[in-house]
Amino acid sequence: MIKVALAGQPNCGKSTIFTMLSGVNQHIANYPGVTVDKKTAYLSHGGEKIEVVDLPGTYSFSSFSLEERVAKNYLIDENPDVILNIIDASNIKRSLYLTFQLLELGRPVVIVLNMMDVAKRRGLDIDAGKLSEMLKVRVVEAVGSRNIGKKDILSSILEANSHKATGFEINYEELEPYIARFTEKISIESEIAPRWFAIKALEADDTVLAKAGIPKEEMDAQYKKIHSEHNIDIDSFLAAIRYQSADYLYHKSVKEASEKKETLTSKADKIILNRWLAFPFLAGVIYLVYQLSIVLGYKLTNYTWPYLAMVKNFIISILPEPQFIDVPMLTDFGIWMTNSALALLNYVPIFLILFALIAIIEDIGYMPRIAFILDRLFKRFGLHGQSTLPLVLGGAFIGGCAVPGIMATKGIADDRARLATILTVPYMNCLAKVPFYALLLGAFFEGQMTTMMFFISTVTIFIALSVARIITLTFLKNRETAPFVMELPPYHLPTLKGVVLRSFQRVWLYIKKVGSIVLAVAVVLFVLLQFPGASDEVVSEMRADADAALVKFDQTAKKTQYYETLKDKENVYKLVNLYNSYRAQKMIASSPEAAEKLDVAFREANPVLFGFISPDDADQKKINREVRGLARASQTILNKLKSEKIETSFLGMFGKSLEPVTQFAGFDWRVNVAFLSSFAARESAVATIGSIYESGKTDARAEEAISEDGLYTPLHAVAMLIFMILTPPCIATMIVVRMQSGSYKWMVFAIFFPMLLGVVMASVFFNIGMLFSLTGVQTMFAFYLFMLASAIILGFVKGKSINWKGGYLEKNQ
Amino acid sequence: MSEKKILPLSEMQTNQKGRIRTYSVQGLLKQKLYNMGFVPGSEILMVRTAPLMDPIEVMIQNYFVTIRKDEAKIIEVEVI
Ligand SMILES: Nc1nc2c(ncn2[C@@H]2O[C@H](COP(=O)(O)OP(=O)(O)OP(=O)(O)O)[C@@H](O)[C@H]2O)c(=O)[nH]1
Ligand SMILES: [Mg+2]
Repeated sequence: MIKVALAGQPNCGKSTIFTMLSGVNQHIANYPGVTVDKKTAYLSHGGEKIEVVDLPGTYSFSSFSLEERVAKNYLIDENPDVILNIIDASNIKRSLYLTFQLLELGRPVVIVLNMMDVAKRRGLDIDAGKLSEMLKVRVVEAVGSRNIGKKDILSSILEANSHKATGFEINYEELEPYIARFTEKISIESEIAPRWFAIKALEADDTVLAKAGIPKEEMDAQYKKIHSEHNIDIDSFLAAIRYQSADYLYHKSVKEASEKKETLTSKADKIILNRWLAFPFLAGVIYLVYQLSIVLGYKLTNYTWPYLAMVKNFIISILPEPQFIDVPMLTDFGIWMTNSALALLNYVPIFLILFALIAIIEDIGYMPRIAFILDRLFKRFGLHGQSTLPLVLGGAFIGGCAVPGIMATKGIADDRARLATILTVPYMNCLAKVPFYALLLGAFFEGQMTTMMFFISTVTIFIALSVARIITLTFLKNRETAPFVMELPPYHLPTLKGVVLRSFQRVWLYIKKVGSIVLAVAVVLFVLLQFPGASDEVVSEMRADADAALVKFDQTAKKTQYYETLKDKENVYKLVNLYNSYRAQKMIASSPEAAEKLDVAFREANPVLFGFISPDDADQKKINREVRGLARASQTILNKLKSEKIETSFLGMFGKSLEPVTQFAGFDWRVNVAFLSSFAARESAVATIGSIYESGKTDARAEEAISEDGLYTPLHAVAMLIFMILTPPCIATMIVVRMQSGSYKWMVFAIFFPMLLGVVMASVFFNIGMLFSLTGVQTMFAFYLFMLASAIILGFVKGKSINWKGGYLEKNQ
Repeated sequence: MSEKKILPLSEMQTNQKGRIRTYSVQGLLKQKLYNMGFVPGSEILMVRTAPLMDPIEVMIQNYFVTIRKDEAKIIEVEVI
C-alpha cells in the first residue's frame, strides 16, 4: 500500500482533489477528539493500493496553530510514501513557501498545480515543465472542481513512489554550516531527512527539539552566537530566503499578462467589504441562511414528521399490547426510546440545509470576510470575528441549534476565542425551547405574547456576549490567544458535489455521535423516572377505578346483541387498543383518500371489533360511546399513575431534594423534574410538565391545566422563563462541546455554569418581582435591561490579550 | 520625494504602497507574520480598512490578508 499525504496551504483545493481522487464511494474515517480532523480514503490505481490522507491546510510548519501541529505530526510520525503538494496555481509564489519546506522532508513529492482555470483567467502563463525541472519533482496540472487531472496525478504518484529521488534544496547561505552541524548531531529514528530536523531545530521547534533531546539552553546559546556572529535573526532570515527563492522560481516559470486586469474578487470586495454596504450585505446573508435553514427546514419537518410518526406507530404495533391499564414495561420503554430518538431525527432536515449552506459560504470564501467585518465588535467581548456564524446558528433570532453552531467553531484560529465561542453558543436561542416558551406564554401571558417573545429572543445575544466577556476575563484568562492575521482568499464557485457530500457527512456524524449518547441518557432517565415506582396502595386504588370502568362497560354491553364477543375481557382490551391505534394513525393521515384506505385496512384486519369504532347499527353506536369512555378512563388512570410514579421516582426525589435551593426562584419539585428531564432533549420538558399536570384532567391542554392549577403566578412563569433562557444545555450540545473542546472539564463546566447562572438569575428576579410587586412583564423587562446594561459595560472592560508574545525567544531575553 | 517616509503599517492610507522594513517582533507572532509573508523587503499595498475601522486588509506577496491594527502597529513600512 502506498501512503499518500495531501499537503498544501489553506484553501488551495486539497479537499476537492481528495474527493476527486477517492470518488464518492470513499471510506471516510473521522478522528474524533481533535478539533481539526484529517480524513483517509482508500483507492487503487494500476494494481496498486493507495491510501490518501487529507491534511488540514497550513501556511508553514511552525506550531502556530492546531492545524499546523496536526499536519506536522502526521508527516513526522506516519512517514507517508509520497507527499502530494497541492498548489493554488493562481498564487504560486506564496504556495512555494510551504513547498520548499515539504521538499526538505526528503520524501518523494508530487506537485499538483490546482486551479489552473483561475490562473488562466488571470492571464498567468505557467511553464509547468520549467517548474518541474527546477524543483526536480513531478508537476501535474489540474482543475479539481472540474475533475481534470485525476489520471495524471495517480500515475505521477506511482512513478514518484518507485523512483525515490530527492528534490530541490534551498541554500540557506550563512546558516548552512549550522544546519550541517545539527544534521550530524541529531539522530532521530525516522524516514524524514535529518536536514529537515536540523532546520526545524534551528527554528527552535518544540516538537523537534523534544524529539532530538536538545535542551533549550543549548539552543539559546546557539541563537545568541548566530545573532552576534552574523547579525541575523534566524526566523526572519529563513523566511526571507524562502520568499526570495519563491520569487525567483516564480519569475522563471510564470509569465504574467502584460496588462494586469482587476480580478473579480477585487471587484466584488469593493461592494461586499465596502464601508457602508458591508453590514447590510452581511445582514442579508445571515437572514437568508436563517430563513432557508431554520424557517424552511422547520416547515420541512412538517412533511418528514408523518414518516417518523409512521415509524413510531410501527414500533408501537410490534411491542406487547397493553392490557387496559397494565402497560408492559417493555412497551413503556420502547415508546420512550422511540420518542427520544425521533425528537433528534426530527431536526435532520434543518441540519441538512444548514450544513449545506455553511459549506457553500465556506467554499465561496465569505467566512473570513465576515470575520473581517465584525472582528472589532467581537474582540471587545473576547470573541473573534469568526464567532459570528456559530452564534447565528446557535439562534440569534427566535431559534437555532447549538449543535451545528458549536461545530462551526472549528475554524476559529484563536484558541481562547474558540473556547469562549463554544461555551457561549449554548446561551443562544435553541429551537427546541420554543414549545416550552409557547407553553408558559400561552398559560400566563396570552395578551403579551409578542412582547415577551421579543424579550426572550433578543436578550440571548446580550447574555451570550456578557458570558463570553466574563469567562474570557476569568476562566479562560490564561488561554492562548492568536494574532489576527488571516488570508482573504479569492472567491470561488462551490461545487455541488462537495457541498452535498459535506452536508451529508456532517449530518451523519451528528446522528452517529449525538444519537448514541442521547439514547444512552434516555435509558438512564427512563430508569430514574420508572423506579422505584408507585406505591402498592396507589396501584390498588387505580386498579379499583379501572375495574369500575370495566364493569360499567360490561353492563352496557350486556344489553346489546354483541355481548358474546365482548364478554371476553381480552377482546375488550383489544378493542381499546384498536381504538387508540386507529386514532393515532388517523391523525397523521395526509388526505381523505388515505383516511379511507386506513378504514378499509382496519376493517379487514379486525372485521368484528372495527364495527364498534366505526359503528353502523344502534347497538354498535352504544358500544362505541362506551369504548370512547373507556379509552378516556384508562388514559386518566394511566396519567394519574404516571404522575404518581414520577413523584415517587428517583428523579422526583431528586427534584424534591433540590427544592430548598430552587424555592428561591419559585420552583417546586415538578418544575425541577421538568428541567432535569429536559437534559435528554429540551422537548421532554414540555412532555414532562404536560404529563404531571395532565393527571386527573383528561382533555384539558397542558397550558390550561397549568394556569388553572393556581399554584403558579406569572412571576413564577418569568422565573421559569429566565431559567430556561439561560439553561439547561441539552445532552447533544454537551457532547459536541466535549468533541470540539476536546475535554470533559469544559463539558462539565458547560453544564454547571449555566445552571448556577440560571438559578441565581431566576431567584434574583423572582424576588425583585415579589419585593416591588412587579407584574410578570415588568420583571421580564427588568431582566432584559439588566442584561443589556451588563453587555454594554462588559464591552468596555479591557482584558489582557497579548500572551502570544510569550514565545520561545521572549522568555529568554 | 527624496525624503523617506516611514510609518507603522497600521497608519498607512488606503491605496498607499510601501516596502516592509526590518522590524522587531517575538514569539508566535513572529512566526505567524513571517509565514504569512510579512518579511522585510516585501512590497505591501494597503487595500482597505474594515467598516468598524479595525482590522485592515493589505496585499502582500500577491495575495490579500487581513490583520488587526494591534499587530500591524509592529510592522514598519517605508512608503514608496
Ligand atoms: N475554480 C476552481 N475552484 C476550485 C478548484 N479546486 C477547488 N476549487 C474551489 O476552491 C475552494 C477551496 O477548496 P477546498 O478543497 O475546500 O480547499 P482546501 O485546500 O481543502 O481548504 P482547507 O481544507 O481549508 O485548507 C472550493 O470552493 C473549491 O470548490 C479548481 O481547480 N478551480
Ligand atoms: Mg480541506
